Amino acid sequence: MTKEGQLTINSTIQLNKISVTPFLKHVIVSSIFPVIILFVWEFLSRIGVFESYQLPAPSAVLLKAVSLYQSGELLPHILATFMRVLIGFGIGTTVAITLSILVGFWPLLEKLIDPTIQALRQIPSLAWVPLFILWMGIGETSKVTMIAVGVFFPVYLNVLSGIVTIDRKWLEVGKVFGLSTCHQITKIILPAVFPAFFTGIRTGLGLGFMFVVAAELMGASEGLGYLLVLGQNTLQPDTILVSIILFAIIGKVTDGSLKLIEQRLLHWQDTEIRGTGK
Amino acid sequence: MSLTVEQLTRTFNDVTAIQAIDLTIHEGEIICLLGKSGCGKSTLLRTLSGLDLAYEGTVSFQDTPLTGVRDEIGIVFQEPRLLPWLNVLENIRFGLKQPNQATIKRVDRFINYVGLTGKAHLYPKALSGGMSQRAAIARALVCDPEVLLLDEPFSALDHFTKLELQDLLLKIQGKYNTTMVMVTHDIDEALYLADRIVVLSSQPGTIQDIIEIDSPRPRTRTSRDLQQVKQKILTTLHI
Repeated sequence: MTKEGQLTINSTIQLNKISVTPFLKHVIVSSIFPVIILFVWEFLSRIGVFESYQLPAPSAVLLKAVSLYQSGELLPHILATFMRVLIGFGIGTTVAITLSILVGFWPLLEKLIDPTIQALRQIPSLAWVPLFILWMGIGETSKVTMIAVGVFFPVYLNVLSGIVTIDRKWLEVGKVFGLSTCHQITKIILPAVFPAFFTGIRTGLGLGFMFVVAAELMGASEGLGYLLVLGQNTLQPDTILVSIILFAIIGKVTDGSLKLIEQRLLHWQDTEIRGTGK
Repeated sequence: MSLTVEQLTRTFNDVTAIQAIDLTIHEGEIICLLGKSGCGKSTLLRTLSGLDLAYEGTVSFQDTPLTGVRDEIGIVFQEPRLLPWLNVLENIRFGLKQPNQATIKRVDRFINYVGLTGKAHLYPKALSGGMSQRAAIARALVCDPEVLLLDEPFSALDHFTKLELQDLLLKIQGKYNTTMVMVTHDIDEALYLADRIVVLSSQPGTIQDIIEIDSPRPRTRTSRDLQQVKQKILTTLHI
């Protein structure tokens, strides 16, 4: 028991020394600015500079969030939005990866379909909305399709550029050691494309959230986008702000998770990570 | 005899890089290919490696024509070309077809042999140029090649590291009797290492002179004999 206890204490201390202190420092430093803004906002709201029907105080927004949560409305909205992004992101990413691999390794296909994709890319993805609604109605299908289209392009473009810009010198190393085509792909091409892949899916995820808002604004009966419309129609800016802030939090958490996975998998990259001093 | 080249010509888009090269490389020999830049030294080395097959003439290894890369022929490039997502150990193991206990031991031995003890778990981004090139040499040696081709392997390194790695090559050659063909533009390097120096002329690259150096190793880099040979090479190259 004592030994175990000591071990725990030791490791906590080490943990503190290595990671927690700089992390806390980072959190504190980066919170200074938003905390000041919140206090100023609260103060100005209380003395009546902002009208509460236009910009409610942070405390009022927080209370609204708590009441929405307690009434059991909030979680289904969050879940609905999250699932739409997840499914659309999944479909868009899968199609993008498949196509970019085919196009990247098959020159004929590149000549055949890449110009078309490059042309379609020029269409602002939101311009598809009316057509999708006409085709698929205002249901889940059109929403998920829209998100998938938004996610598709950044993933496709990044993975493809990752594939076509692989250093010939690395491929030659594979050739020198007599690697089979299969091993060339798994041992050299895939790891080499990984950085571009992560750039692609992180951009894609960001766009996914942008498109879920657009999709839900068009017409939805649940979701954070629906909360935005609801707040507008019922003159409740606090509801709108709750939704906006939740979008920020969910976006940050999902991107942060991807970034964490990226850093774990791509620790070998010779790049300086900003802000960590490494 | 291990590697033979007969009437080797290689052209790139109507520009002849090397022309009518005849050369026989004997087992256990160190050959240095010397010449100005653009004289086709690297082109010649690439055809010997089996990486470049679009040549005219014949290249044969142990009396059979070379039809592609072979396990018996290892190559070390000018840049170390370590794969950045693998650590030193994994990079050195990279060329092994079926890693088993014996080959894993071999990897460990070579890590120590090339002077990378304790660095096995570092990633290429943490290595200096010299350490990277040591790892690249180990990666080629682990596959137990009979011939080691080296394409200006030390030209990007500082002078002292270069001298150390030249001695490493001699140590390897002494121990494993590896045949070595090295492209270089450093006359002193060629004089220190080579049994024969093949001097190539420029555009198109043809063999201008083959100089045998019979002074015993280890050689003194500043010896009078070697300096005389150096003068001869400089004259051959019109410098």
